[in-house]
Amino acid sequence: MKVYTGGGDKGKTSLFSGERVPKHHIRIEAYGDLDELNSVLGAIVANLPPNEDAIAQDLENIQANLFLAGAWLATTPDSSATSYLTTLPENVAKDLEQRIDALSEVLPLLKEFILPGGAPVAAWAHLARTVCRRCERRLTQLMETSKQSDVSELAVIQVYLNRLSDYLFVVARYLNQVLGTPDKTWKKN
Amino acid sequence: MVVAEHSVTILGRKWLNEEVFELECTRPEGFEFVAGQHVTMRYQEDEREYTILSPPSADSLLFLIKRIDQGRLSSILATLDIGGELSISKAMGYLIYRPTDRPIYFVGTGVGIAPFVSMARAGVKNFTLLHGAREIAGLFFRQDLMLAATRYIPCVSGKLSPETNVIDLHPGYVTDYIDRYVKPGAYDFYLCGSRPMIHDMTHLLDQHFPETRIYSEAFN
Repeated sequence: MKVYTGGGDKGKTSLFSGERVPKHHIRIEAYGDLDELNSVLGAIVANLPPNEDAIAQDLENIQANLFLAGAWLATTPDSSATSYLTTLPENVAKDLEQRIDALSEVLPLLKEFILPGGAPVAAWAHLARTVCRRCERRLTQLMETSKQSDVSELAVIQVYLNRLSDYLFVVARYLNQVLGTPDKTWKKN
Repeated sequence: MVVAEHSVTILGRKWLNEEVFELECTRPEGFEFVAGQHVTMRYQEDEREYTILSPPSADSLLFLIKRIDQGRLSSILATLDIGGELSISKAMGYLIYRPTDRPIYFVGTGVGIAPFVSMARAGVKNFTLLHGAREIAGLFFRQDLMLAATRYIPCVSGKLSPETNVIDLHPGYVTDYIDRYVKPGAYDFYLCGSRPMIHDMTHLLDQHFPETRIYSEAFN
């Protein structure tokens, strides 16, 4: 696979559906943010403590799903290229809910705001959560500006990202818990 | 390294000129692809991507291969015995036909013509084909492509002999043809060829046809 052709040297790039758009186009911003999120998830995986295979597997599945989601964001809805896209697996959001519930069982009840941070791997998870929230914001913007709210797959992705943010928050807290780095609560100065 | 998923056996080899040949291999059971896709082919430690030349309905797999002096795999493929075994990955890539109501231009240079041969053999119609080569003899599958394309324009960049007589021949690069003769409009362009060609063509299309859609695949 060739990494470069130089076709984007003058500030344009191709959508999956073939249109040439500026690199700051809302679609590029949207799937670029998903790419950033995917990279931060990779940083979490790279820093996971031993024996956290379940989380590693979760994150690998999520990374694969984000590739599928990115392709949808990179394609205009009326394009014939949509026939080559793959829908997200069924119940992706529900599966995340189950994982959130399972991880939450070992966590103390949250009564106050907590400061993002703690152990390095948990700090990566907090960062991933915030990037994920940005992905959501871009997606809603895209759906609004391109009138894509009627594309059902984007609605699925929207729910998935919302749940994923929650999952990453719980993962951050869980990792701090197992690494002996208790949550720091927000104290008003 | 891409993990090869299928083992294939070489069935035949047909030389098209001194450096380019068709390689025919068995089609593994369950191997699916869309016309225009490529595979990663591997022999021992050497691997490289090749586009499938045959249509998806074919019983065997054909590849269009250029023997490169410094290219280890292409040299092996040029000499490996019939009956020899190789590995190929699953089919990949997105240089595949997408139905449209816009005028379609296929642009293939050298062995970059392979995806368009596969598409034409798969029954894709209503396209203009710009077929680029250094010399007439490098316009592989010209006769078949002339029949399949609505308009077939051979673009030969090398020196032509005075007695050359080819219908619609453009003496120059494919980019030069686009620059001179394609009218403003919104098109679907499919590009396959060397990286410099893809680079130059992409910038040319951006400049002249900002509404156009581009699908491309480059190779070294």
